[in-house]
Amino acid sequence: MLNAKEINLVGLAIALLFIGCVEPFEAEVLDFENALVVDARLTNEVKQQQISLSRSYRFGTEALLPETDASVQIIDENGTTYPFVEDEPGFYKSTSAFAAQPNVGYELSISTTSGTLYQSETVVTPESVAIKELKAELDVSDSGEEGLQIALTNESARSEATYFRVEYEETYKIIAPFYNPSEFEVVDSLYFTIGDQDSFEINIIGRTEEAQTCYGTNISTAILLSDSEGNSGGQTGKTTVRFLRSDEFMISHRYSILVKQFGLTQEAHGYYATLDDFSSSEGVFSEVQPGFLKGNITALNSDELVLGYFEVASVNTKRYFFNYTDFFPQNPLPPYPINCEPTGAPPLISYNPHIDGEYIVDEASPQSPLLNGILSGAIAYHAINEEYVESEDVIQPPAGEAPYFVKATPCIDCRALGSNVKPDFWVE
Amino acid sequence: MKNTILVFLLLFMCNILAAQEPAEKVTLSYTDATIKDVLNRIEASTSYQFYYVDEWLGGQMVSGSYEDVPVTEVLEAIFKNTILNFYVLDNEKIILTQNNIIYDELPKGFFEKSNLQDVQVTEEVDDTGSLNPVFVADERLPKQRAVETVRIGKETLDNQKQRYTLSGYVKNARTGKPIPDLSLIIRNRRVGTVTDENGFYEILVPVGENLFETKALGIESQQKRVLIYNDGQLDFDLNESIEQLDEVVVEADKTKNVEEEITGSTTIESEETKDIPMVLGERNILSVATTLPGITNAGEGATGLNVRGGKTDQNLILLDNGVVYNPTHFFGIFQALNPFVTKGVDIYKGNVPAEFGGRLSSVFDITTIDGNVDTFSGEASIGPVTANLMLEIPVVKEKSSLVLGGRGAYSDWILRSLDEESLKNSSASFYDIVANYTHKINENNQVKATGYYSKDAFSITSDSLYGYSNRLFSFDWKHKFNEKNNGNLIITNSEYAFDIDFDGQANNDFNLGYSIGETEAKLNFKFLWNDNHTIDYGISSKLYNVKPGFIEPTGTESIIRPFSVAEDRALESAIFIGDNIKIGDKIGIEAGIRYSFYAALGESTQRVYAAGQPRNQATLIDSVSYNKNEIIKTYGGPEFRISGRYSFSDDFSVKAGFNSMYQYIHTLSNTTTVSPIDTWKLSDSNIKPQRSNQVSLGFFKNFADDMYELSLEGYYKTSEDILDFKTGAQLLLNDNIEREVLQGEGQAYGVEFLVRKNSGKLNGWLGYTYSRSLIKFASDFAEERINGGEFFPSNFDKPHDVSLVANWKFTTRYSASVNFSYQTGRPVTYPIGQYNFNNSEYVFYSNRNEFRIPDYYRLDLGINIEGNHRIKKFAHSFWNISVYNVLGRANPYSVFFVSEGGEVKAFKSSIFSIPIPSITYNFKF
Repeated sequence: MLNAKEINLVGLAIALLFIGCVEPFEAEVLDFENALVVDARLTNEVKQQQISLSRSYRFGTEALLPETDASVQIIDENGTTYPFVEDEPGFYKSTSAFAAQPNVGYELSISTTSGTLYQSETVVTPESVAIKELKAELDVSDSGEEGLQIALTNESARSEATYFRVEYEETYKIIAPFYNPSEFEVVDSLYFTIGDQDSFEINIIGRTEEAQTCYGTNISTAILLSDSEGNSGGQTGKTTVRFLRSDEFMISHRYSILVKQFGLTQEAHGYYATLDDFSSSEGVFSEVQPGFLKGNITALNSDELVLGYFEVASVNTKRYFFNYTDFFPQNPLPPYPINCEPTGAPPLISYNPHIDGEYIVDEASPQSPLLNGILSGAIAYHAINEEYVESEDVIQPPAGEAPYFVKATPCIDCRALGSNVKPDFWVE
Repeated sequence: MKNTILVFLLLFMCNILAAQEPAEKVTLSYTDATIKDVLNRIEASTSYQFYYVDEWLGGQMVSGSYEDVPVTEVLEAIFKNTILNFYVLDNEKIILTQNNIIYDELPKGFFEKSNLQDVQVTEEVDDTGSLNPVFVADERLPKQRAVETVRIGKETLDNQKQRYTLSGYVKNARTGKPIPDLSLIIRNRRVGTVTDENGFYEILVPVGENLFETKALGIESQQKRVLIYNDGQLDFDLNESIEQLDEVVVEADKTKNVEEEITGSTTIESEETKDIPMVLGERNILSVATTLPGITNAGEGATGLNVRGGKTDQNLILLDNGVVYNPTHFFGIFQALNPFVTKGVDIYKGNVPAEFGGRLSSVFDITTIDGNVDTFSGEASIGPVTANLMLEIPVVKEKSSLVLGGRGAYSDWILRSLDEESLKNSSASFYDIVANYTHKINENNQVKATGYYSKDAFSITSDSLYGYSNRLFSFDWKHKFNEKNNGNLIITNSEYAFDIDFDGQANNDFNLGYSIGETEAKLNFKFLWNDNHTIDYGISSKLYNVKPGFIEPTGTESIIRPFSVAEDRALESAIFIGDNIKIGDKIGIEAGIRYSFYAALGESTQRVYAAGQPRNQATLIDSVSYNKNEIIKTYGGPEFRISGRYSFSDDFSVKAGFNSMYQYIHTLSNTTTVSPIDTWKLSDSNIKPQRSNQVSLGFFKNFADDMYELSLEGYYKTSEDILDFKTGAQLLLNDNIEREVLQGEGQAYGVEFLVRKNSGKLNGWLGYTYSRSLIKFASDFAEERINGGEFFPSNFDKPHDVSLVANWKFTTRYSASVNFSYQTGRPVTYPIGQYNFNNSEYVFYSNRNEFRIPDYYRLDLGINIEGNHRIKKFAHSFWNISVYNVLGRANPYSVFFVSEGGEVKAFKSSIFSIPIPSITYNFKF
């Protein structure tokens, strides 16, 4: 049995999009079935293992409904019980740190406050296979775009087929192109009120926090599977984890990817493959027949459907760094995700006294673009408008003039796109 | 459908030569020569060619000597003492006739219907069908003589009778022989009679003036004004008439609708479909089929047809007797049959003749044309997507002909001209070629060989190339043993294959493929026992060879391990007999039985699972190996094909039928609609054949001299052991496919209404079908149940279906066509909730097909312009301008839910969401 990973037949069928079309639609809400969702992943890392329990919700609604106050435990085939306690609503942590041992079977059992008992099949920890190599290579995508392919290869060939699910966490350096060491400070003015409206003093102060260099992080959401079934000598071959276009903003400076390879059982791999089939982009012509996807957990004393899976995995991770210039020394940097060319000069409105040559006070009215922009975080301080004349003797400067030049916040302050805390693993 | 019609050329003649161009002159002398020799000598020395039957000439010896005399003079002399006549046609052909009877039996209903003039398409009369021909002469008889008045009987005073008996004798004025079967009509009284075989007649004639007219084939018509006073006698001496008809139209099957015994059969002529607007102007006989009641598909772009609630793998599609596994190109949008080479298709969706079997739902018996044996001719077309050329090449004049057809698509330009980035590197192309050779060896033997190949190749991403192909060869030898017995020997071989070539960036390039091949031999006999019994019988056997899937590495780097699923082989045989029985005029019965027998053959390893347990690794108890050709498992049984007709009148009948079928091969598909990489699986020790039973009842009525046909048919069909699959089954390259298979039952029923107008300025049909198609997969084990083991609608259950196809002829050159269809939206599986799992949102599904996509409707318009009809013109052209989906309705084809970037998004797709205009140019030469 070969997994359909390479045979993405459904994808091919978009050929006729030119006359056909695929468009989003507001799906009607039909029947709803309330089911327990088990998201349980036991790994071979020594840690407080975590299991999350929630309920399914009506299609189209956002509410995440945690399953609270359940009793959760994992029992291994030697009879050892690992109890779990609720840490946050719906999140259960093992009371002690432990790791799944190779070739040992585990069972998950859950009992909810409604009295329903759930039991998983026994899952034996698959053997661990280390990642041999993780690297990026220049490549051309399926649709003909130049870029980098990040692929992993595995350590050793085994006679038995091995199955993997791959997740990644990518972190990339962001440098604000119009970084300014100063920023606006907005202070509720104690001195002025106009009618019911409050007033604010706007000032320029030196930055106290890092805002030039930040780090953005994305976590993979798609299901990425690989296996060595059908390969000679049990090799897993090369698994493409990520394809990044050469003009992808994330790789502008330095990029790092942490790849987690979860060694799975064949059954778990099959479960994920089907889940992926049911939830990935279908073709226009042929659509995989969906149906209820049964995991390895069943309700013992009820007919209730159970969603999710109790996965026991052996995890191996590898991190990889590269700079844009390693691959594209000649290219200009990829474009920043927002256009930083426009510079704005939001005018002051109405009553704009100016005190001591330091503060600009503006009304907190909907009409003040400057104040609204600052308070909403959309704009950041770029420069002083030199043409704006400060006049000592004029108590009320003319309205409609702009004291400052501003730009969109992400152009000046990288915190709009990432965190200014350098991750522990980061190496330059 | 229009009636099937036969056009042929008939010549009527007598010994009196009509004014001809002066005959060529000859000089020759012969002594005690046979007539044949003389004719051969004339042929050799002149441009004349003779047409005759050898036996007529006999052994008579003739002598003579001529110098520079017209040929006609010689011929008159040599035929003087024979019963032969001759006729010079076009000053190059001389046709001999025996006596003067060209057509030795007058068809019934000849005169009553002789005012019909429509010249329609051609097709050979199916000799199993009913035959009620109508002859139409384009040119009327020669001038009529002045009407002579005759007085009969002596008027008597005591005569109180209203009618008197007139009798007489009709003879040939030249030969003095009686003229049988001559019609005598009294035109002003609307009565008439026919002479008996000795030329005598008798008729009751009203008193007074009667306008008599005589009519018979080859006999000059004569009119007489007859004044009747009393009983009397009136004899006629009639001349033979000469009548050269440019064309005579025989309309057969005109009343097939009401007279044929079997229910649920339809014929579509390829030529007829040319006026019907289609996607991108591509003629598509299979799409036209879906406008008829009982035949649907899952939607545009869904390969395969669903006939009376059956799955797409339940249709036996034959091209000149060979099986075509996938008769479509490009995901079912275009037919993979050359429209010029395709003559037509007979569709059996209710009762299936006993000679066919192996599929549950229907038979599409497609035939190719027989080539022109006289002159080189052809047909070509250019459309937006394909170009097509067909040639008919006579090989041995009047005996054999070769037909070649080739069609290719150049659709790549469409893909390339798109804005859509992801499709820039995609390509799609297809072609099909077909050739046939017909040879009439002699009166009793005729052979036809057909070869066919179609290929599709498409690639969407730069790293993979998909292809599929059909290959077919068939050979058919028709032999007539004697007047009552004839038979066919049919040998066919066909193959369907697909492959996927993957050439990606990583080290896992591969080629994956599948193929199914079958070779069949079939002997078919027909015994025309008597007027009341026509018996068809025969035997057939086919061998299947399936390569269920293989994968092999490509390139030196690839780490893919070569793998193939063990080949499947099987033998499917059948013996069949059917009798078409007529009991009087009112009752007709078609009774057939077919015994089919199937044997799965080694070499193979069959897995044995614990009885009464779901099939999986845990319940595997044994594996049994079989040697090559060893029988693994046999299946078989009788299939009954019985139907009957009761005619209330000539144009109204009721029919009922019972039909049972076996199907030994199955498609494996885990998609909601068919895709080109679905595979076929043979029944084996774990997978049983499918069976079905169907009962049907229909009422058939023709109106207005058969111009309108009306039918109302109902059916109820059950099927057993139909296949489906466990949720998320992986079917490609799966060694243990039986673990994924579920076998359940089906139930389908429906009422089909069709009204059709076959002639006149406006013709076309309107059909409405109400039907349901339900399936059920029950089991003691949850993993083998679908929808709790209850009946649920199949993917193509579309209860209401309306189709209108109409063509309006403004003039002989211009016509406009309209095509409208409406269908209930098909069932789809819809989520019953949403959940979060592993950082992403997902929807989940429970029961299948509990939601329907919105209803489907579409309107197409077309204008057809024929070139002018001058017969001698080199090429006859035909323009077709059409707009498909004029309303631009984005008919939803499917809905699906995608988890993207951690969120669920709902999408709907449609295939042709905008009006698609096209122009096609066809020409014949």
